[in-house]
Amino acid sequence: MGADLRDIIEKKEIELKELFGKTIAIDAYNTLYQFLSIIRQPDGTPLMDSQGSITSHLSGLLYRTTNLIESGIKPVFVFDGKPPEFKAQTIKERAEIRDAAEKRWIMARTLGEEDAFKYAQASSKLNSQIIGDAKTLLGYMGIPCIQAPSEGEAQAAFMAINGDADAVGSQDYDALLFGAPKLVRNLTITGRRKLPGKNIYIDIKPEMLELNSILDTLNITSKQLIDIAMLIGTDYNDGIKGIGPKTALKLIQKHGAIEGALAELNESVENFDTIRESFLYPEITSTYEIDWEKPEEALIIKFLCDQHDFSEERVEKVLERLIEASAQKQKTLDHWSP
Amino acid sequence: MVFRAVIDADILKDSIEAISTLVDEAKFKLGPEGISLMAVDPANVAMVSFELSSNAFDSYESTEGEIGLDLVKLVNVLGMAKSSDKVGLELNEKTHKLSISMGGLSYTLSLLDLSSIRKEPKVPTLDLPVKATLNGNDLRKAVKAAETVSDHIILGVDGDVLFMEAKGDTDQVRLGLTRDELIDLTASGPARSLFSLDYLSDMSKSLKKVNEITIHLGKDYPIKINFTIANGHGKVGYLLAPRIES
Repeated sequence: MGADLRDIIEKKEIELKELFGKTIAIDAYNTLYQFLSIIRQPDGTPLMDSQGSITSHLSGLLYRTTNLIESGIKPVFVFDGKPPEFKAQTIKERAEIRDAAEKRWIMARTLGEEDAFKYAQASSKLNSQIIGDAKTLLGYMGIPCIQAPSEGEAQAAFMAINGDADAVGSQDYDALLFGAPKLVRNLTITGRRKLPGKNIYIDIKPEMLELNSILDTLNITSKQLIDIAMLIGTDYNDGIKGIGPKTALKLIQKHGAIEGALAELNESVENFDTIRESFLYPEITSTYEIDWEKPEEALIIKFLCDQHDFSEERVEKVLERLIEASAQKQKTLDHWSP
Repeated sequence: MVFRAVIDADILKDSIEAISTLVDEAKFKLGPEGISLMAVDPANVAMVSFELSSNAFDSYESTEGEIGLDLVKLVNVLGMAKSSDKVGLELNEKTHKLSISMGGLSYTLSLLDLSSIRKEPKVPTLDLPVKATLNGNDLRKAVKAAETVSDHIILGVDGDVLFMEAKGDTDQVRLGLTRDELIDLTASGPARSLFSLDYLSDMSKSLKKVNEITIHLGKDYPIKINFTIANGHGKVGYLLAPRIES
């Protein structure tokens, strides 16, 4: 979700090793949704323990975060706080979509339909237990979790602007609207991945998006990028029907700001001033601590194997990798660069 | 832009391999005096600087400019050359290609877009207290021995001895070279740093034919390794960041 700027934004495929030694502020909600959506059985049923609690996200966090740490990346997970008030409508609409998808999935699964997986993915939702379990596991893994006062992406972007993170990690483009100088996509899905429902594998690589270079190429300011996003639709507004990123870019380049574009289209975006402000000056905190600790092997095994029925043998194997990688002692030349 | 040159296959192969141990793609600076390059590996752990004077070539003609080359392809192409071959290089700026000819074979290699190659690194300014000159093969030998017991090696100076030491879970190896066994040693302070063998063993592959290398060391500081190639007409410098001892 977030503003779909894909068609106009310049991105560069990179190798995971180019992120060696880099601190990445990862949008935790975005990542958890991704795990809940893709880590499922072929009929769409998420991974669950014997109590019926969902564990797809725990599996994703354990294995994929370990892969990142093995690549020398230093992840920080940034969790959403209270959503801004004017997001209420979006949240309500999304909940309705998910509920409908869930009903459709249950029917498709009962009938053995092939697209059950697709509906199941669309029904993915976070609840307090999922979020709580994620924080517990990350804590035991020694990975810092930061609580944002409001939007996680805004907080992650602030940490990157502040120099405490080298980039934001998210699939959404919104971090750029919040001013993140660098955004990495595909971080937690890098590697060889099977396309759902098909016997096709694709090789996914991380993408690096650099705000300054994007703005230079499009010859716009960051404020104008926000205006473009509002025309096509953001988490806070629906956007103008029939306006895609390319048209929106042309309109903003022509008129300089959303007001002129709206006048030409004879359309309106409710509260566009407030929305623009909330991207430019989002609610963030400057009190946070980023510390990586040693993984707590015994606690992880107890939590995953005793409480959530993970295979002890498999968990021990990945923990061996995590512990080895967490002790990463290789310095980079950055340390001595002028 | 003009670039046209002929060089011994051996010299060119050694030159390119010294760089390709660290990077797959690189941006070469060309000029009337010769060619040069500065590159850092993707993880920003190791750096290579390279210079090859026009004197290293049988014939050489170049104006100022830059070209981007895929080193993996170039190494493969040069693998076809016999060591006694002469290699002809010629840039075709219009088609954006480099033609490479040797022993009747000719290749055209597409140049890489310069903007797609990572920027030249900032070179750290380092003041390292120890400078040792030794036979390249001695360092190579120590690295090979270390690989049998561990994935890292400690290099340092203890009094008059340059030591290289690796400790595994159960075994350890140590090579000590006294001042007499070295070509030269000057130390103005303590030196002891730990390095990843992944990197050091790749770098030391280039050292097997090198009689004399100079290394600079400090305490938990990067190592500098300098040596000449092409009968003194070329220079290679490596810089490798240390690991922190636990």
